[in-house]
Amino acid sequence: MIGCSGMTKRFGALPAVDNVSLDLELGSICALLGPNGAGKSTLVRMLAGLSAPDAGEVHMPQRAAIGVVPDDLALLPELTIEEQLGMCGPIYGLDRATTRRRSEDLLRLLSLWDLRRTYARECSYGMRKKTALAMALVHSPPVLLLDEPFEGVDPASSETIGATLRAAADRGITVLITTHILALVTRICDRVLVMRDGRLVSDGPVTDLPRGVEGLYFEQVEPPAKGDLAWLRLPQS
Amino acid sequence: MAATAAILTAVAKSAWRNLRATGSFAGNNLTVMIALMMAQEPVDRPSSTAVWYLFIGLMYAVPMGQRLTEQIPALRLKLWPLSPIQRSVVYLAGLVLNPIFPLAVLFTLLSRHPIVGAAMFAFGAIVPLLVVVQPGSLRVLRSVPRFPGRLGGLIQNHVREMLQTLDVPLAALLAMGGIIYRVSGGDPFASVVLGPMIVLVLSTLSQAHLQFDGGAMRTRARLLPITGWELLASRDAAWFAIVLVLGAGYRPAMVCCAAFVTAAIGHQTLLEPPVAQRRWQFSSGRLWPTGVAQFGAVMAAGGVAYNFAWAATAVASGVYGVSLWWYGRRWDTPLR
Repeated sequence: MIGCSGMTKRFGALPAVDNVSLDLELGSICALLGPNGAGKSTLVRMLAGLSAPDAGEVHMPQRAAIGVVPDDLALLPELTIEEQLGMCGPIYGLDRATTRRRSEDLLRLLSLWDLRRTYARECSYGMRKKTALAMALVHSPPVLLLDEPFEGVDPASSETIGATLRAAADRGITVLITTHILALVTRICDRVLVMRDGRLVSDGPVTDLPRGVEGLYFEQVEPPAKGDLAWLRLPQS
Repeated sequence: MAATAAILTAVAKSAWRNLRATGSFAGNNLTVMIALMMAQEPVDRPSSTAVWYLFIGLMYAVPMGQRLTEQIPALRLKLWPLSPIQRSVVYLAGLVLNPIFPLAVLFTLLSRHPIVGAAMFAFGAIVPLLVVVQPGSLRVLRSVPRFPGRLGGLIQNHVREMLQTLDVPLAALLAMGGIIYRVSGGDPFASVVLGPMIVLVLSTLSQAHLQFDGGAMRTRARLLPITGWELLASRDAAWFAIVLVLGAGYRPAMVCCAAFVTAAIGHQTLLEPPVAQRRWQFSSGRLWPTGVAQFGAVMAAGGVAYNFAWAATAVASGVYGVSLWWYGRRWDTPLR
């Protein structure tokens, strides 16, 4: 089993994740949706072993078998994009030639090849996100936990990443992503989980959603009334 | 006027909340050494220890300069519709509201050479105007190669990080000064003392909880399949590399012995909350008890190694090994 059972995490009195259980199917892409503050990133951090749950159990393979894009990206500031991947390869047991070959493949795929000698601290957010994604993929892990892999990334790269993840899942890799890009969820994911206030409020195949992903996501959002922010206008002369 | 007041309130709030600016002053082990030297200073004749005022002056001047621009980002300040006079008021208020300011005043008052302290303070005030050129883009760091082995990439990152603190140039200055002094026929005992002193200047950097860029390294370390002792060893390898290069001109047994015990004590902070470091400032660690213990251990190790050389170094390396194993094992304990 890959997932967790009865997982709870509190920050003070506030439950960030409240008794969440999930079982990820092998070779599938599962999207974890929810508004900001719903507990998605906290759940991913616990699944990745970056923070400990207050209650519940994590059922994940060992660290070497997981690829993670954490919410803070966790890049090493003093290494270039290319050096980040060169650092990861040997730590995951890859030889130099394999690391170099895979790094080149990933950097070209993610349009980072021409920028490979840029320091992480000098990169734009989108470049940093793509670098973190390349670091998660370079050792070909059986499980991928990706916290908002598309946010801040240009549309063309988002499409490439989506297609890459779909192909990886079709080859048996299990993927959990959190995202707000609903169009991509509809296209590449097999299953959709929705969190709200730390709880899992919906869980089902993406094809079974009667009103689509958007309907599920926006069902509790109230549109602004006509008089809201009436002061937001051109100054009257 | 209302705009200036609003900005000054924001500066005051962020200065008050962000007292970490004092870190490179109060959290660097050098502070202990300088405080002791100031206490020993003769009042009736010129003292060679006055040069240390330069160092302590830098320790408050540099953060003073950088903090001013960080409390309100320069871009944000540029976006606000302020007159040149309002900008000047904000600049001056930012200087006074800086948490380093009371420390600087205190230092000036306590110094037995008030003129030196005042000059340092004046320097601190003009530094903000000089930091237009940020050394952050130094390309020389690219020449730090990847180190061999599985952890080579991590060591490379650590070396580059450490080279961007002011501890390293200060230690280099000390190392070069000592060699010149010896070559020019100075007191040979001075070079004996300077070896451990170089280790001492670098000792804050050996504390394992120091992190650049918001603790990204700690998250990455948790994600990578490396054990606690490997994590510590990669950091120590970077630190030892710098210590050995800068201490090369001095008695190797004294430098090695002092370095081993310093690193062993530095491991103690591994599980402490990460302490953010800023580039081109002195490193800021935990002065009590870690820094004080490192200071005492360096002095003791240097003294013992002076008499027993490699036997003392062998014992110190054993202590280091035990510390590596013990604190590495604590890192490997699952998070609770």
